[in-house]
Amino acid sequence: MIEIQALTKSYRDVQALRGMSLEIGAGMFGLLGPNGAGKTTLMRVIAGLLRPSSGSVRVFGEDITTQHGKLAVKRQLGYLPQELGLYPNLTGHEFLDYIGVLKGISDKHERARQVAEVLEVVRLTDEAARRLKTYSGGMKRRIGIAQALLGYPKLLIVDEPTAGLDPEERVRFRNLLADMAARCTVILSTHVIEDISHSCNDLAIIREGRVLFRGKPSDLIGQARGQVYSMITTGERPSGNLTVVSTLQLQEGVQYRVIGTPDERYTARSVEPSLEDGYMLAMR
Amino acid sequence: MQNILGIARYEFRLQWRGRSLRVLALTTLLVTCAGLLIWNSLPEGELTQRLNATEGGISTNVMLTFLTFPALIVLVVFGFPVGASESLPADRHYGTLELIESLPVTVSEYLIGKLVGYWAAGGSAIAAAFVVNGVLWWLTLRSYDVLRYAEMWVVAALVLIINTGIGILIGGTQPNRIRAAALVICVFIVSTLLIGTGGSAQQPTLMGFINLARIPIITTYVNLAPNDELRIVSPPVYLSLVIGILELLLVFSGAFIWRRRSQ
Repeated sequence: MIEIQALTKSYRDVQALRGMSLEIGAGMFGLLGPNGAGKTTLMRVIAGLLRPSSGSVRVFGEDITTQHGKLAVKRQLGYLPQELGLYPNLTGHEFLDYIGVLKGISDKHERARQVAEVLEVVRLTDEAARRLKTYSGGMKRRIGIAQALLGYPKLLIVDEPTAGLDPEERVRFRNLLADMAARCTVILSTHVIEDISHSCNDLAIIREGRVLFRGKPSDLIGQARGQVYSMITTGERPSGNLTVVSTLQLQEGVQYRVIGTPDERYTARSVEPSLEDGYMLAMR
Repeated sequence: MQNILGIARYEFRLQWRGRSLRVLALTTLLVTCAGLLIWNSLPEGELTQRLNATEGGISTNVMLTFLTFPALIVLVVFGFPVGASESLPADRHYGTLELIESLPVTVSEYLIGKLVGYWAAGGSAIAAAFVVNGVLWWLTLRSYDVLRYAEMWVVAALVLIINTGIGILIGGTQPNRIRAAALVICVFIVSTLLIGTGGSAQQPTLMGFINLARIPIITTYVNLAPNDELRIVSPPVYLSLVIGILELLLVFSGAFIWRRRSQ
């Protein structure tokens, strides 16, 4: 259980988090928001990497503002940063072994077993002896995911985990996270709404350091019901208090999917909203 | 302890797989062996006459030290610390720092692990040069005082530990490797040129002792005086090493506080 109360975090004159309060329970929790919303800052605070300016954060009952609490949380944490770099001159196996040592897996055989296991999970067993500088972008991302899984963490924080993965790997990884969520708390931050809609039963949308929405994906979709329309024009972009969600060129004209109330001069029909529509509505 | 050993083990590997340490190791080997070339090219001049003289002559041990130590000490005092300065900024450069900070590793474990890893890597480079150089000198001279020879290298290795430690910790305050190297070069130049050399080998001043160039050690070993006793490990050498260790501890404390505050 993660309890966040009135959390603020400022970097000199920029306030990244503004009195945020959240409770995150077991299972998979999705964090959505535009660039600069404060998602990464929030995750770095929860991971004990950043000291909050004010407010409190308790992870599994440990206060992460204390040195003891921070270490206690880190012992149970699997973390995949948004921009994970790797040592180019280590092999995939060596890198994971190194992280395993630092995660406190002291028994050599146990470490080797876990490294082999996570390599298998991310399907890099055959490439494990290669230096990391020879890996493709997707393979590096998979090694990043593998290191986060080492040590069977109770809390898994993953920032944009599917960036750079091909569609097949993305699906595999989503399923993997869903499996992990049965055993631990997973916090998934992403721009890819599809990742959230397929795997999270609880989510928050944040913008400018504040929580805009908190609830189930179905609640977010429900908020958009009756406000999403589809219309076809001859090419004229719909005007008025609308947000265009998608544009599709058709033979008979241009099909727009919009959020809001379209002008009466358009022939618009109400459509069933998606999670993306709900997100766009929240962001308006 | 396990964290320290783990970081040290992989720092050792990373250093040996990087370019900087391999260049320094090769340079150490070549410049210390260059003394052999000088020895072999010496004409029947003053040095060899003094070497062969029965009274007041220079022993082969002194010659060996004279021809090897200057190049060695320049490398351990300046070359290795500049090379080592990238050790901590490299984690930021590669983008692994954020991940390491998310692991249950304390600041002191991280710093000590990095230091021990570099010391092991740099020390192994020095050890390899020590063995190769020693064998080549043995083949050339047929006989010399091995303990004296080893003493010279042990002192150089201790200077390497102190100065690379200072180089790593000072470099660790910088955001990238180039700035780290530039800062370490500046600190060592300022220390060497502005602090002053301070006195002689026999009577060094405090300024000479705190100079990162380790002046009392250089003036003790790089000395062609005929008396061998002068070059056996002497109080100025001991004191210089002790002051160097205190300097290292001071810089470590500063780096530790700086890193704790920046987290």
